[in-house]
Amino acid sequence: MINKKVGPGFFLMLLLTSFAVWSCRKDFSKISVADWQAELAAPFIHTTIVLDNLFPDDSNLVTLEDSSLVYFYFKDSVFSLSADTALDLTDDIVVDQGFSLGELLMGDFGFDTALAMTEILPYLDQAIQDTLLKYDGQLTYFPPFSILEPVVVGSEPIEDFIQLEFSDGKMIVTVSNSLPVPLNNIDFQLLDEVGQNIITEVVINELPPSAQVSDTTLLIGTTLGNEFSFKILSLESPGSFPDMVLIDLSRGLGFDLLATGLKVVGGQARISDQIMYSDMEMIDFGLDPEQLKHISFMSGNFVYNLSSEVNIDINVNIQLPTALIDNEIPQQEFIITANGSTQQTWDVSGMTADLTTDAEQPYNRMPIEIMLTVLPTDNLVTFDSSDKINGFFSLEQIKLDFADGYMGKQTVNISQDTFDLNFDFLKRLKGELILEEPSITMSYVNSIGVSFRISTEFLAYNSETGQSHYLEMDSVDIEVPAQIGDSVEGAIIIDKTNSSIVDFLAIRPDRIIYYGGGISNPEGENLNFITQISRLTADAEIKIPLILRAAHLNFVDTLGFSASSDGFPIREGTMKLNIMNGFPFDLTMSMVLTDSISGQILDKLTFDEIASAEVDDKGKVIGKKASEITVGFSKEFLTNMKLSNQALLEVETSTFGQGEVPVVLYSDYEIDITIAFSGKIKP
Amino acid sequence: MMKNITKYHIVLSLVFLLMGKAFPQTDLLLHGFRFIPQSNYNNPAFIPEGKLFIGIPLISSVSNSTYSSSFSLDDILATKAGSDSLYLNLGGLITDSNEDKMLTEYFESDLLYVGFKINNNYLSFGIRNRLFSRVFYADDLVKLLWNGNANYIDEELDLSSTILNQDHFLAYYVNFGFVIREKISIGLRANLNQGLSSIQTQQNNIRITTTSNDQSIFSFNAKTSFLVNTSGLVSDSTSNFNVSNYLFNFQNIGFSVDIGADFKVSDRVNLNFSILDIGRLNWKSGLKSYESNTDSIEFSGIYADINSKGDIFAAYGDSLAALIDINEFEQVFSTSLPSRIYAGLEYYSLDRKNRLSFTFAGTFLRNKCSPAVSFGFEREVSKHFAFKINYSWLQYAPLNLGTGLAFNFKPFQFYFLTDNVFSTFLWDKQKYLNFRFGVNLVFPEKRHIPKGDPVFRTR
Repeated sequence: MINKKVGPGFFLMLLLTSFAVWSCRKDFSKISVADWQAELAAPFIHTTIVLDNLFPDDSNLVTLEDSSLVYFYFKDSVFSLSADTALDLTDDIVVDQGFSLGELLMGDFGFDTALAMTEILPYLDQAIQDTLLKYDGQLTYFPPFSILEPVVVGSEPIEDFIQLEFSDGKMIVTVSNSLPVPLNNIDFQLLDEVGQNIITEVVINELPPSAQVSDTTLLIGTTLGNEFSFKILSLESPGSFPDMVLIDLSRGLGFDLLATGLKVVGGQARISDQIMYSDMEMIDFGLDPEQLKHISFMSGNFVYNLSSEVNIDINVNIQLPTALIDNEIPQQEFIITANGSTQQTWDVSGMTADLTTDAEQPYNRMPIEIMLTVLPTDNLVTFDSSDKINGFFSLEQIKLDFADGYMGKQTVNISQDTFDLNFDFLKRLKGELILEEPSITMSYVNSIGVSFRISTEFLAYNSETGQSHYLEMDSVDIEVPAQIGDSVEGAIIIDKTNSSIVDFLAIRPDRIIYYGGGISNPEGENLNFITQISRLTADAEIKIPLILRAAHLNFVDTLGFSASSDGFPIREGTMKLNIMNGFPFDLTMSMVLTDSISGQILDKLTFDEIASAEVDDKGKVIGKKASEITVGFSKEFLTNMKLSNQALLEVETSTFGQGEVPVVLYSDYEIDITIAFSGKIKP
Repeated sequence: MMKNITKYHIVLSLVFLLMGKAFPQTDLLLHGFRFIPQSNYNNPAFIPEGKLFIGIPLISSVSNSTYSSSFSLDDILATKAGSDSLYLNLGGLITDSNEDKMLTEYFESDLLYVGFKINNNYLSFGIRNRLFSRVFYADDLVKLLWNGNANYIDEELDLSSTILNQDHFLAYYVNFGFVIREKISIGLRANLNQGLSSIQTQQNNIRITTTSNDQSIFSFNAKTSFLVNTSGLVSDSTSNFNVSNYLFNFQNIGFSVDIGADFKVSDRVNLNFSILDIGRLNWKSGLKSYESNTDSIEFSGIYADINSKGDIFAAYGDSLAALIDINEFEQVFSTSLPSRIYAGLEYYSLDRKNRLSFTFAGTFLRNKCSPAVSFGFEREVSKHFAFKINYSWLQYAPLNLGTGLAFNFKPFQFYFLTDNVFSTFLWDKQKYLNFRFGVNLVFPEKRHIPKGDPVFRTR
């Protein structure tokens, strides 16, 4: 019997053993879900990309009123010419002039003196003396006589000078005979008592009674003191016999001395007032090649500095005869004291001047009339004709208000500068892109009355490709305002009709370097004018309407969003795209997974054959084009998506009609993209 | 985020699928096996043979039942030649029938059991740790989980019949079976139930349709209203789950009664009848209810700004997560216990050591009665050993051979029961898994087991 052989313990052990054995039949630690092939179909994303959205950072892209897109780049003051460019008056205009005292006029001076017989008597024979003394007052025969030794007749000193050096003038000595008998062999010397010089010696053979004889001596080069004497060397008389004459011993010889027509160049004298200097000087602006006719100053100073080496006070009168300040001729009058100096600053703000009055050089010269007058002296003063007044005249800190004339042919420089273009979208494009209607407009405002011919060089440079291109264009004449105060606005338009701008921009430059120059009055002499506020300023505007043709154009952009795929529930499958393309481009888009550090491309998913929207004959889109695309993606792609740290959007595109038709880009173009996916769920 | 959602669904599914690792609560073999004192769990009127029964705390009765209406573990975990891995395959579960699928889990263990005879009557009391889990899932849920939605474009996947209900509670009970005129035993068990945790799907109207269209290619349209009440499961980042707080929470209280009757029709025929788990649990603490804020959603993908920064997949996941707009709030609720009925007919041998039995059992789930019948033979070989075998038919598991063994090694009693003996060694091929084991201290009436007399040798 079983129950006799087998106890309940056996059953219990059997139960526990079998439970233990069979419980280990399956290893639940190794459950695979490899057979789980659930497929998820899900909408993913939809987006509408408006053309505008493609250039979020492109601040230069402007939407016009009609929604068309235009790249604008504006830079003001690409060049600026001021009045100084045409006329530079920055240097002071200086005239240094010395004014010598020169000849001074002296008043006539002279004296008369008489030599009575009584004064001659001592120099006669005694007998004759006696006779004459005896018959003085009587009518008798006047005895012949001759002086036995020289007789000197002096004079009083002349008070108006002490000594003079004459450059002109004459001295007239008149001898008169008041005796009743003729005088013969009169020989006398006029002596300068101070210098002990013989001024002149006069010989008179016969001097009838009551007659007089004059002798003139030129004083040029003579220096005389103020005391004179006559030294009579011989004096004879035949007497009156047979005539009886009244003997009067108070009578005799008369001497009259007169210095007249005097000009002196030195000495010590009392000076009468007289013009020392009066003449017209010219202030030359020293310009070349400018030939100014008229000028006015906004501000400035006429500075003169006069320093006198003359012992005489001088009255100074300065006048700018062709200038006007407040409709009056500017004039200044002042006195420079003897050996003194003066410095004056004359505000010439608002002064206008005619610079044409010099017949020899009817431009650039402003006359200045200077009159120096010697003031009379109360005392004797020492002077010399070489004494002078040093004059220093200058126009300083002048600011031009206006000038006309001919400014000459002058070259002007347009400094090199750079347009740093930020055409973000264009910069990223690779391939052939033809921009149909680009232009560079240099708008200028000119108030300088000088014609300029400007020539500007533009060099486009693409720093990424290293390409460069010169813009070929002709030089341009700047329009000139018709009259003062006017300004003229003009524009230099550089487009495909007058330049190689299409090729120039085809390299999609990121920098445009410009520089240039110009010439004033390119056609020769003209009447120019400038004012202080005259300017020629030009702004540059680069305008690139997005009217373009492109074939096989590429651009790569880093996707703003990341796609780590960690949260993506699909391990492999397909991506379905419904695209309503409102862009006038055929598109092939690829999502490229890369390692941003090594640059290695890990994987690529391409969405091909996105058809362009159709355009009308003006290149404008007339309707969206639908495309349906299905693209498979593998496990490896998703793995690579995880490995990748950068996703690039690579786009290859041609404009509608394979790049043959220019299309216009409008900001409101849009492409609707709907993406769904279907695939096996990631376990 | 998407990955988390997917994982969540997978894990949730596997939790219920792998519950089959444990074993049914119909406990057809236990029914009427009076050699074991816990047999009166199926009918409070059953009076075990013995004077005093003390369950060894925690291990006096441990039982687990898993009942799947549609699959066994083997149906979903297959092996492949050359591989020691198990391959999950839910494809076989898809039947295209409209019938809802069910998976129930019932775990029970005694924390305390004491029973003793008072004259011919029997009084017992104790504490039972009980866990009921009932999952009803729509066929479309399996379709969605296993095949995804790509194969059901423009079809509605109706998940509205998917329900998860689970109650975990401790039952403090007093059972009194008394004999009326030696032929009728009436039993009543009053249970004071201490609710520990609960998940109740109050409402579910989730239906998902993936439509195809030109605009978004695919779009999701779903009706999303649902309401799930929970209790006792709240934990957040600041407070970890605390076992003590969990077990000693006495705020969720309910009452239930079990009643039974055992009629001795003749010396050889007995009839018994019982109704169990009539009562409710009131959940008032640790509450958290989840309700959809929207009745329906539509998802056509996310709008992506090409100039935006960030992870587009993360944004996509966030958008999907945002669709699941769930309102969390606290709401008092109550749950009914899954009532069961048992009816049995027993035929005894003349010495009443052998017994043939027929048992009908029904479990009420979602207003439906899940029936089971069983034919069994029980032999009380001696006062030290008894066994029972039976055949059970369950609606979704028609072939079940059960075995029960009980050993008395004075004063210890060891027993092991299963409604489906294949649960022990072919459990992975079973839809119905059940076992119960335990250790009691049994103090028989002296007249039944002479001291020192070996069980087998005395007979």
